[in-house]
Amino acid sequence: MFAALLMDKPSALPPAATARASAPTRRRFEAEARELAPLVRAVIAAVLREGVHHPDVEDATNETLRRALESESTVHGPIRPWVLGIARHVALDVHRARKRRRTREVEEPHTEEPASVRFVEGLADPGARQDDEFARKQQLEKIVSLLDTLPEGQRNALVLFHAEGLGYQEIAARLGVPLGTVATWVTRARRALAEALEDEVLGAKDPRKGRKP
Amino acid sequence: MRQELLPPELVWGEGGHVSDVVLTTIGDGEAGVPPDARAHVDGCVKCKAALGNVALLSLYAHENIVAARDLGMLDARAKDAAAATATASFRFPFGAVVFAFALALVTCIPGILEAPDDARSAGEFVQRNLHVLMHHFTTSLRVSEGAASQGALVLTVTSTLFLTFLALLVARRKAAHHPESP
Repeated sequence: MFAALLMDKPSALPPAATARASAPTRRRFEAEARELAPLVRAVIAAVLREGVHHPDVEDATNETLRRALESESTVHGPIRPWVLGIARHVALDVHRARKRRRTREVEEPHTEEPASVRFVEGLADPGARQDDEFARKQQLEKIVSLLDTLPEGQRNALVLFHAEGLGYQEIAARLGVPLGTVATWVTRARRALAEALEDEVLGAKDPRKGRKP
Repeated sequence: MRQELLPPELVWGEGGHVSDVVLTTIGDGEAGVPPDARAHVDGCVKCKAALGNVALLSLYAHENIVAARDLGMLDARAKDAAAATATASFRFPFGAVVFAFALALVTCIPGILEAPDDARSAGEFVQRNLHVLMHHFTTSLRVSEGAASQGALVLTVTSTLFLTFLALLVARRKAAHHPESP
């Protein structure tokens, strides 16, 4: 059922994956994943810079959901970021394969991509920064110090959402503010983080900038 | 319980597309987006593309904040958030109470304006009828234990509660229409 609804490729499901989890757990997972399918497609389209109906986006979406279903038993914590992480990984594989194919087929002159495009790629590909433990810790320290610069409401909303795992409604109830205020705080906090980290993300993607000693 | 929705002024952005707030809410998998806004995102290529970027940013923030939490780097901020939660739970409605007192004061103005005349006539009355006044005073004390006084007390308390309720209502509506105010 899950495969038919979301993946359009029932035959791609390995039997072991479908038999591993108990039926109620599996049904719950399927329901959550079904709701995530449009978001998975949007994330992959953003990484590949294609429309959501592009064949590569469709293929990568199917592959993401297949992998998610296969490794369902390894999920610890919320499903949404976990599935989106898989989507990002799959989309990056497709993106790299496309680049290699282009390089082989055509001797293209190097053209500089716009900063906005490189920023999205930087968000999509944290691997280069995560390889180096020292650089990774530096990056986290920078993010924590950026959190301190945010207005109190924005910082509390972001910490309660990501670190405490609360939903918007729960945060609104706890902080005694309307739902719209929480949504606005989260949006502005993330935008502020993105703007502050833009140089770092672009620097990590741009080999000419290198890494600070 | 009824699902609270985002207010209309936060839903729509430029060019008839949904706002970043709506995209963030959908990207975070949260409820509260009005059905017409969700339907727009489902059918709009531009909004879908923006949704992908917003979801990537959400994922980036999530991974980093969770990693910082796991390394114990967020302890102070988590305490701040918890403290804010506790404060919000027991927040005294100063604004509402001040408003209620101000409104009560306004209703007293006619009485305050007439107070000097009343005081003067009362003084003359006391001078002329001190012994009668004392008699009336003792009589009043006895009467004050009666039902009439209790009725007046109930009326006063009810009026105060009503005014406070109105003030809370006004404060709540103000907060709902100005979501930026902390």
